[in-house]
Amino acid sequence: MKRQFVSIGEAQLHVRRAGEGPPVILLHPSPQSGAFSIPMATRLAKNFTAIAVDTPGYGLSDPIPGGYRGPALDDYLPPLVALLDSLGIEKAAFYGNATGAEIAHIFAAAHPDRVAVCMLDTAGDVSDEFVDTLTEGYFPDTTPRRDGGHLLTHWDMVRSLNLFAPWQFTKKESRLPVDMPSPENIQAKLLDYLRAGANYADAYKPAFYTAKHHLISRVTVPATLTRWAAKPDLTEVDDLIAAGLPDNFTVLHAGPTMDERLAVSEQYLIDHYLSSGITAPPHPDQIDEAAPRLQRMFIDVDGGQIMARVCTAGVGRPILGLHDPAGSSNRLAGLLAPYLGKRPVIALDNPGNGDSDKFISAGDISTESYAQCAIAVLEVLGVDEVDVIGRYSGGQVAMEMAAAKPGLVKHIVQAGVQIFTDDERGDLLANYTPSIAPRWDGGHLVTAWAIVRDMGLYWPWYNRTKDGVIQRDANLDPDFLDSRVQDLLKVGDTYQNAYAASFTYPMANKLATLDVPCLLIDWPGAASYDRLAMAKGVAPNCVTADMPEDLAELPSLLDPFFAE
Amino acid sequence: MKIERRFLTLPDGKQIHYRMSGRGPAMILMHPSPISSEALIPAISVFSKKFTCIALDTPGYGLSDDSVAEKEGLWGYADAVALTLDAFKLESAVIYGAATGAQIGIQFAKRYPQRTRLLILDGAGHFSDEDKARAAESYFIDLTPRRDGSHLLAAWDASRHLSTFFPWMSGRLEDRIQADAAPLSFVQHHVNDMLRAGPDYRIAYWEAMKGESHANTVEVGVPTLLSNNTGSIIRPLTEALIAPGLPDNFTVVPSTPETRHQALLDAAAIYAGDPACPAPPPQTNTKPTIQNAMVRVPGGQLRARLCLEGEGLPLIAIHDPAGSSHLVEPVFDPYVGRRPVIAFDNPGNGESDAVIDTLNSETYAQVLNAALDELGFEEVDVLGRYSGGPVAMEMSFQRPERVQHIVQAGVSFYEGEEQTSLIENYTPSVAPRWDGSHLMTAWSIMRDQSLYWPWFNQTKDGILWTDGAIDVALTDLRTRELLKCGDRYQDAYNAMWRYPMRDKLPKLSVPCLLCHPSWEPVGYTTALAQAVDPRCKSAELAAGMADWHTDLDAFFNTP
Repeated sequence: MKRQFVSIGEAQLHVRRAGEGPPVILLHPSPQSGAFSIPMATRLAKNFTAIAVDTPGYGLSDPIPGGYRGPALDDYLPPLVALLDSLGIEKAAFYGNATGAEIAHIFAAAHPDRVAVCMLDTAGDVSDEFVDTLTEGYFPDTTPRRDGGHLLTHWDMVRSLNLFAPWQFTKKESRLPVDMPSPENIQAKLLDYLRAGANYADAYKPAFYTAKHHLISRVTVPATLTRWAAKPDLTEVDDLIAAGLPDNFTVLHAGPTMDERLAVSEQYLIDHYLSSGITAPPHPDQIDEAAPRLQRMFIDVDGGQIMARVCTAGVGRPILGLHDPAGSSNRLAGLLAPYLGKRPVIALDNPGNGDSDKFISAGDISTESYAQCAIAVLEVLGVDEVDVIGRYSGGQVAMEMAAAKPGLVKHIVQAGVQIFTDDERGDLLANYTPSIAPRWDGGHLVTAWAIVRDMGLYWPWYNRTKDGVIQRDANLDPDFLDSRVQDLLKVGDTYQNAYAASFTYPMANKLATLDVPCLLIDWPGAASYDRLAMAKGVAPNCVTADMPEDLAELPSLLDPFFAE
Repeated sequence: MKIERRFLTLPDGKQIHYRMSGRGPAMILMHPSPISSEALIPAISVFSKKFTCIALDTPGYGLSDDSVAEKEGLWGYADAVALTLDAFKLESAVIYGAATGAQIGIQFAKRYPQRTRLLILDGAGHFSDEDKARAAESYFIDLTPRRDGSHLLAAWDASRHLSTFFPWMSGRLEDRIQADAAPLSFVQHHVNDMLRAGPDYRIAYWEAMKGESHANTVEVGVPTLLSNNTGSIIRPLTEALIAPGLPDNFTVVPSTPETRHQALLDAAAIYAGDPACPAPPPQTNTKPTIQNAMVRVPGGQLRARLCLEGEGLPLIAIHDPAGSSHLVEPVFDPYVGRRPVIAFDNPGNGESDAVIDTLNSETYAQVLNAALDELGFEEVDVLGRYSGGPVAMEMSFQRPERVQHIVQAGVSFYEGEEQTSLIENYTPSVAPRWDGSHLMTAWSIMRDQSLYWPWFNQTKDGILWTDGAIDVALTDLRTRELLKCGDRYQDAYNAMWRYPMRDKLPKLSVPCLLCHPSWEPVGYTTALAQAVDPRCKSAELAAGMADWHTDLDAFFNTP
């Protein structure tokens, strides 16, 4: 299964794609992502082109262009039309679960010419009054808060899905007779909630109100409704069937196992759609190459896929951005912004960070292995010369790239320099990266939040004494901290290895022998500012400079250096 | 220096909690928001050399009832001080206030100049309109209990950053406090105080901030000392108060953090001549409602929730390992005014001093027996919730003539693998952690106690099929009590798990009722214990504590 982006106008939708044959679009429940659809997509890929879409605003898909206006699900239809157009797909089968099923049936009713088969797994007929009761308190506010409390709101929601249906109810009759899953399992789902953010209810809430017999009956194309024996609220399905479905509907009766549930839909598609002659062309380009903005794309390298933010508009040698140990390419957007449209720009998520696959095991994480991966990405992209801007450990990775493939890296800019004395190194290794592995009580979210917040208050963040006070304004903006904490939670405890690789990198020796021009910059007042002088002491050939407060002025500092 | 805590009851029945110490004329002390008179202990330790210090918990803060309506503003708090003087039969006193306390002092001196011998302002200043606008926007947070427990994190955030920025919610370098972060124990203490004050913690706090100005301060006509302490985080505000000039009745007292209180005492010394000591008023009045009282025991004091009105033997209720008197108080509902009822906070729990270090049923029983001696009760009936049962038994073993009936509601009978598992898993540490994540542990334990038995068995088999799950107000109360107790709850629980009920129950010489409410997850222990001692009676009680009286009275009325 390959992850790919699809451009629709200025927005990008994210899909997981596998197989060849007639196309099947899979739509997931809220507020999850296409990852939910992997088991079904994997089955279908044997005979079909399975394309599991992240609903706009969920997973890695951008929000609906112009924003969700509501109140119904109709806002989701134009992006889906655009998606089919971009994919070059005239007509497809649609298979949806929960919210995905609701979107599928209103899409089929509105665009019968684009839908070959409309398959509703998890759909039903529910009255507005019942939904009102069901959703009272169902959608708490999860806008990021400066204390990190919104993470606990998310945690409570995700965890409680295993306690009660609906999750916010507390009466005996709403209790679910199930084991509480492991914290890791809860965390995996939580990450989708965090990606959807404060707008997680956009598709989720109207979906409840779209489970209606009269809406579903408007579908005129061949359609199926799965009646899965183990579904917790089967009456909603039976109510829908009892209300009388049009003749174009087939009810698929599935036994209680998950295998049986998926098999009935798969078999229907084999029987009724496989020989339709409908095809899907190969996946289109992931990005609009002329657009002067960062766009996301997945790049296939040995072992897995790397997420990159790229802008191919512009001329000259590409600039490669490499992030810090717990970050992602998202952290580089500010530094790279002045170059968009002027020079090609590529920023990577390291394997295991951000949205790149985790194909380097924790034990194999090193500055060298990150460098090899970046080199492989550039080879795929056909780039043979770059200037690199690295944040913290990103600068070290650039140095290893230069050593591993002479001629590839022409200039290195290190924004924040990771050079330490032996004493500091020991202290950092011992204290900088406490475990943020999922804990039963959600406390790890508090730990992760406190770490990224305190990184702006103290250096090192755990030195909460007068001496540790960072003499700069602290960015305590909840959205900023939330974005950083999401990056941190995605890496998880692998950040320990990533930081250790950076802390133990023999920076002094490597800098002293570096044969590529190197510029070291930092913000005056930043905790790491004194590292510039320290690095200059061991590597007099390096140039040091102050970071401009306004990053728009960065080219006036960097361009003369890049021109050397 | 010995500081005694007491309550006094205002005419409307609301209670003021205070700390009292020293000899000499009366000095009323008022604390900063949103904390309590506990913060004044360093001040008391100095001022008590020459004054009888009476340090009040502001109404709505600490343990004082919330007796001031928001619309009364700071005048309402000033009136409460006047009522306090009345209760002490004091015509006047020296009034000391710190921060919010200083602003209340100013209002008091303005409304009651003849009752203000001297006003001492510590941590007072002039807030600019810009400062006030910033505070109005984001200084005060919502502490309403939330089912995800995140209100605890909000309290932690606001408490922790008091030592990093002034105002705490700033991120600006110019607002940064160039100092070490406060110790975790301080932060936790502040969190506990915020939670005591609850969502209304902002009321006196904001009223004080809003009015804190040069114009308001100079309206004071009585002799006034203004502390100007070099270590104060609001020193620039104090300087801004002094700069425009102060009337002649004001004396600025410069000091350092080390000399802060002594310098004020020296300046106030001329008011210390009169050696008459005020006598504390009675703690409670005779209204048939449950009230607070502090009760002396060896080593300190216990907080009691009690009503001594009515006939017959007092009914004593003993709470669970991590709780407080509040958790058993509903049992009293049908008895209040009919027979005396008393629930103590166990030592180290709730608001009681931690007068014992070794926590087990015997030591708890010793302290409670001492408390009953102090109150002068010879014979009592005792109801113990969970661990309270074994404590009641030990009280009886220690004082066979005292305990007439024992009710064990939730019988502590744990043996073998179950006992081992409970000891190992039931009480993870809730000690303060740097990031505040212990709050989530505490909250989750208390919430999950309503979802699973034991709470850590989060499988299908552990599910509690009851309707009482995730009661936010109850979870919040229980979490607050757990946080006050801290990791002492481990010993308190372990004493319960380990209690040798099988050996001890047959040795009991008083009538004993073994029982549990209908929803009780550990209801099965009632039968186990009764099998060991068939003399005991047993019962399944109503779901709500306030409805237990039918079964309880049937038992109490048995000869």
